[in-house]
Amino acid sequence: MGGLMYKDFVAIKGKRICIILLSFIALLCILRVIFPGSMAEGLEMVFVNDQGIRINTLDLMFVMPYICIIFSIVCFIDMWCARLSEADESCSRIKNYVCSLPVSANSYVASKYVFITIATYVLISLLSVTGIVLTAFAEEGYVLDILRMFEVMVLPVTSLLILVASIELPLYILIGREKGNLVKVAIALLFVFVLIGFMLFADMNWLSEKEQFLVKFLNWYTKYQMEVTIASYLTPVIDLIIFYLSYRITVFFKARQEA
Amino acid sequence: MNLTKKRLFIYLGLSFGMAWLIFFIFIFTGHTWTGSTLEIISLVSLGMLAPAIAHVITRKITNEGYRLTGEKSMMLGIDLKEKKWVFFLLAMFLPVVYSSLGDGILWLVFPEAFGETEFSLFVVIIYPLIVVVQGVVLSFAAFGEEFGWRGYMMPKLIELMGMPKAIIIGGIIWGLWHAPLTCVGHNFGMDYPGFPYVGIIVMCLFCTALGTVLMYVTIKTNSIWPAAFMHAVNNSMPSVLLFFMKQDVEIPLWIHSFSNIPLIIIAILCFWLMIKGKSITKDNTH
Repeated sequence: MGGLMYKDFVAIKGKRICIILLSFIALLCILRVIFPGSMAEGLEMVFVNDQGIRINTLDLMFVMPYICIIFSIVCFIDMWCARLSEADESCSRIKNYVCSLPVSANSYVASKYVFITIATYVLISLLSVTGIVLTAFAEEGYVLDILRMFEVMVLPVTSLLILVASIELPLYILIGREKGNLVKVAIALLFVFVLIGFMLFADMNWLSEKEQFLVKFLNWYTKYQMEVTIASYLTPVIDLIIFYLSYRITVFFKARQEA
Repeated sequence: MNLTKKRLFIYLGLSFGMAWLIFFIFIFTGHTWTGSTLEIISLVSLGMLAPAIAHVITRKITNEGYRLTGEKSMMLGIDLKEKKWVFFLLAMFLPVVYSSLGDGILWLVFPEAFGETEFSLFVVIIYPLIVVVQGVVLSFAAFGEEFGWRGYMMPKLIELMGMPKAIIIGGIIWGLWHAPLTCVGHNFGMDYPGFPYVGIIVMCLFCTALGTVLMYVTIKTNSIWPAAFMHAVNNSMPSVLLFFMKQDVEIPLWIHSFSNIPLIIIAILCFWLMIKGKSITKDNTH
């Protein structure tokens, strides 16, 4: 299985991605150490908004790339799920090589799932390290609160990654990249239609007061912080069960396909 | 000098050097463990990654290679066959058991430190599961330590001096590694008789006990992952009785040490099992 996983690592151009991602994170952390939040006052990068909240722009500049990293991590997992099966399909040499290996459907599917699990663990760890460095050098205030909120969100993000993989891996492994993408788009469209239906017929007054909505959201978060934290901590458990079920289903159908 | 000894010294030099550099910067910038914000403490905790980095660099220097599994490997493989998954589960939930039992003993010995909890019963019951999930998902820091200590140092020590001595010496080395932080209040605070020497000794004892259990699960699974998970859960303060502990009551260090009794009992049991186990010898451990 190690060989299969190494093949997957090469297929996603793992070495290049590792170097780029690590360099970007290292650069971000080094810049944060050189320019801590306490420097903002001297650089005239602090302003007070209409509601009297003091905002440190220097801290905010570092929060943005952090949020980008979070979203790109979700995209990475999404891309890799597709790329893993595409590599096996696109090149007949790899396809023949995989078919000739003395591995069962179980091992083949397991290698994909284990690979994504390891990738998720590594990405989440990198995200946490970045979060720790950025938070440590941020000034007390509004931006630090945002960073703390994102630190709490590391576990839900993990859940999201596991959930994405649980849905996409069976699609790509069983029906290939092209058809898998079509099914994925169909599922996404279904969600969009449900959302449009909801927006057409449900009470949407709260959306017209955007600023109020954000304040309300933050107030709601502050009020139910304990419950949100508990829920966020437990979501990976539920997702792991879904992930395992997804793996069993994929193995079952893959074995039937091969038979 | 023996080649293994030389490799061990290179590893220890790097591991102590990198981690202590971080710890000393923390100390000399006027911080203490008890007086620092959670953010700064989290930053200093990244020093836990130093043993892992030291492991990788040592292997590069000594040309030992980077085998993931098997003999002389980094023990990164996960094998759940032959009921090895039991040890993974055990590693995740054992800290909850011994920490809660330890705090139970503390409650018996020093009842003034405990009282009513302001949290709901639901939170108290669900807490161990939260700690385990958080520990496992965010175990990278604990992995950093285990990858170094259990993944490199302990096999080298066992090769040099055999299992019983290696466990004790390994525990002392691990405890001493924490010494700079113990001197600024890590784990025991700064207000106890014999500060900081008593704290360092207690830390060495604690590390020896915990290290024994961690080594046992590592050997049983031939992987450092259960040790990393166990270490992470252990660091997440998994005791459910924490909710009943009063924040304003200072527990003397000698009383606080009673909470380690369940861990010490488990460590003695693991030590005995490892000594008794015929498969674990100086020659074939790695």
